[in-house]
Amino acid sequence: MRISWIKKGLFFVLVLAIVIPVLFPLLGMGASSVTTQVDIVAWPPRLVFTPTLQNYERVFR
Amino acid sequence: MEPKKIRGSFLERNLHIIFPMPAVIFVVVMMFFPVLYTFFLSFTNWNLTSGMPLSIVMLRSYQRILREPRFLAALGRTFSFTALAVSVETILGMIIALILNREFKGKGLTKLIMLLPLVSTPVAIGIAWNLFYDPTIGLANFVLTRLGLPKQAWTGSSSTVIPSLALVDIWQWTPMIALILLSGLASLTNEPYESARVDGATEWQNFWRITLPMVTPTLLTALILRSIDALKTFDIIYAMTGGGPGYSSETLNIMAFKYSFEYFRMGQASVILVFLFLLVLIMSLLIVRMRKSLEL
Repeated sequence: MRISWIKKGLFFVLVLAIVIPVLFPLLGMGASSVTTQVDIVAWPPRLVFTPTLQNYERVFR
Repeated sequence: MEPKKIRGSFLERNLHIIFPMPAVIFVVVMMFFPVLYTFFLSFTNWNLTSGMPLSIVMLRSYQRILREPRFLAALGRTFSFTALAVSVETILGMIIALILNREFKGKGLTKLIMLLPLVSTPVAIGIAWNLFYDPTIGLANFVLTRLGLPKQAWTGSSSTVIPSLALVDIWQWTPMIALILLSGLASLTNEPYESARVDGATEWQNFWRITLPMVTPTLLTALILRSIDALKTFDIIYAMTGGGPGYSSETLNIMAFKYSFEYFRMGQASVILVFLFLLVLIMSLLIVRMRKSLEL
């Protein structure tokens, strides 16, 4: 019983290892669209930031 | 009454020609004409900046291009980019297909997520990956420094630009190979596996002796599609590096683009495209022949 749970857990980790790299650049693209220029060029990169719609406003204006 | 009868019989007699005509016209105009016109231009010295009319110079454009070290370097880069990207994509695609071939909760969602890179716009992908690769503010170097490794120039250095671009190609196109192989795996019957289980075969033996031989035709189809596409890659490279730094990521397609739309040397650009066309053709024929020999 326990071994089957471990197997399931490992399989889930494998699936995550496929899904996360696939999603990562797309999430980065989406995140940078709601990030200010200052936050985008910050070093070290700010993984937590206050989202803004100003980029969308500029594009649609 | 009489003329109608004649007209009707003419249409009826020629239906087999009339009905396929739109498709034939489409193929001739949209497919054959550009290829033949490119072949024709490759024998000319057409230069948009010279103001001179186009004249036929036969193989002189070929000689000039073949003598260019930049052409041979671009040819080598096209090969290395294709070989690196397609080989990694095939191996990773196979591994992912084997994983996704099992039944599990969220399989549909995983397959849906796998489709996302395929439908993403190349320019958007280029921008996202350029941000990721940026030598000063990029997340890639942030991770490397956190791991205590030296920063890399990624697309900013001639030694790392091709592997960096190949990584983007791998990210975008591995899901396609995985999904093609997944459809191939789904069509396999269970009987050989059951017999193998009775004989005491391991999972590893099952893969090498049953799965791989049976899925090889599908694998080769995926390989043909990807090789052709990788040889012709333009959008990602142009969006990310424009062929730079210097000429270090300039493939044949990028070089042909620059020759035609930056230097306006249409004749020489056509020569490069003829070489690219022949390259794609030879590679496709080789893989098709390989596939046929495996089926016999």
